[in-house]
Amino acid sequence: MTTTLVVQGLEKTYGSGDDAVRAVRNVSFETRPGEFVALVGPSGSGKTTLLAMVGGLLAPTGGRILVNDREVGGTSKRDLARYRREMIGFVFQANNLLPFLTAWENLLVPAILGSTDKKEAGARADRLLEELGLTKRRNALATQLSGGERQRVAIARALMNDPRLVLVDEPTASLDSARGRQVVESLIQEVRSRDVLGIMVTHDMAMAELADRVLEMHDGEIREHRAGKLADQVPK
Amino acid sequence: MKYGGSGDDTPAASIVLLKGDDLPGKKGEGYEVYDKATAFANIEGVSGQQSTVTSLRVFGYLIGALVIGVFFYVLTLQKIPQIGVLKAIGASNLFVFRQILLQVVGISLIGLAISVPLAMLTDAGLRRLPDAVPIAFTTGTFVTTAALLLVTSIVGTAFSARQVIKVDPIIALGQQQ
Repeated sequence: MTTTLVVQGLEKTYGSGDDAVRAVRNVSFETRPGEFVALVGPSGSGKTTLLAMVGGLLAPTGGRILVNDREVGGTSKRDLARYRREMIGFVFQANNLLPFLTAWENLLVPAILGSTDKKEAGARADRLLEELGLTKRRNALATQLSGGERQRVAIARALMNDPRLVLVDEPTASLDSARGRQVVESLIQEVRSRDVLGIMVTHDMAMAELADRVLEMHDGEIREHRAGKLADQVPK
Repeated sequence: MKYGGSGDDTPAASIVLLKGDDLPGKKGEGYEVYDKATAFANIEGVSGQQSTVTSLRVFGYLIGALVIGVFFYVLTLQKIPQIGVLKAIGASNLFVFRQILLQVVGISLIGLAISVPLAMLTDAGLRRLPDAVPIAFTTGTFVTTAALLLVTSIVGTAFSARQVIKVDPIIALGQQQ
């Protein structure tokens, strides 16, 4: 099943009256299945707020988000939790693995939330660890993994429940450029091979250029849509 | 048994303990028959001592309950960043709270599994002392204390439920509203 995302006139305003801050202003865009999109822009330009709204973590104050023609937002907290559990795979800036669990056990967490069969989830976790070159680190605690390994485990965790959208927040912030590129290439390959949709927030223009499309944000608005200059360099 | 001095060297009995039937007929002149509880309660200083011991026990339980309750409350609050992550990847409030409660009950049961045998050993040790210490670790004491520990652990955790519900999953993105 392919995924389509349509964002129409999206708005997010914090506060009210004179203190109101419009973090996201009338943002609209559409994506193609299997596309990997990079959201770039200076700090405070609204890119993380936009990612949070698409991921059901923040409620928009205006506009619509449609995933496979179904509107997100305006639903209860329970519905949003289900939306995140079933449709979204998050990769956080600080990877946010549970430190007292092994790499493999961290992958089982979304499966437990999604009530997936334990045996099936275990096999899937093993497959994902293999795909991301982490088989040997299967039983290492999250705290024993290197920065790059932790981010790759976080990618595997994001893919555990077969999400339709993979949302990534600054995945290379704590990595050197070589490891950062490795992580982003892994992400793009996984997104493309699954025909799902990836959105990555980043400050790193070198990483952004690996994406299929780059959306540049300034003051809450998308100012530029363009193709990633290095998208063809990502191994198939 | 003699309490106080009578002024001469002849021992004087103030309490005589008798066991058997038809005791009223066997009492000596000038003596009254009472059951054991009444006799003890009327010994000078005993009721005062009892109330002191009871107060110590009650305060012991209260302080223990407070320490355990606060411990589990703080333990839950320390997990707020991880709770944020769990919620961001789709965990419901009910799921998170159920997991915390299971962990708390598990930790409490492990605590009891360690402490009850230790208390039994202490009891056995005290009984072997030449001048036995007047402390009794009865089954009732064990059951009451264990139940109280479990209940206070759960109550302490329940107090953190509001905080758990309030955790906004957006903290996982390192961004606060």
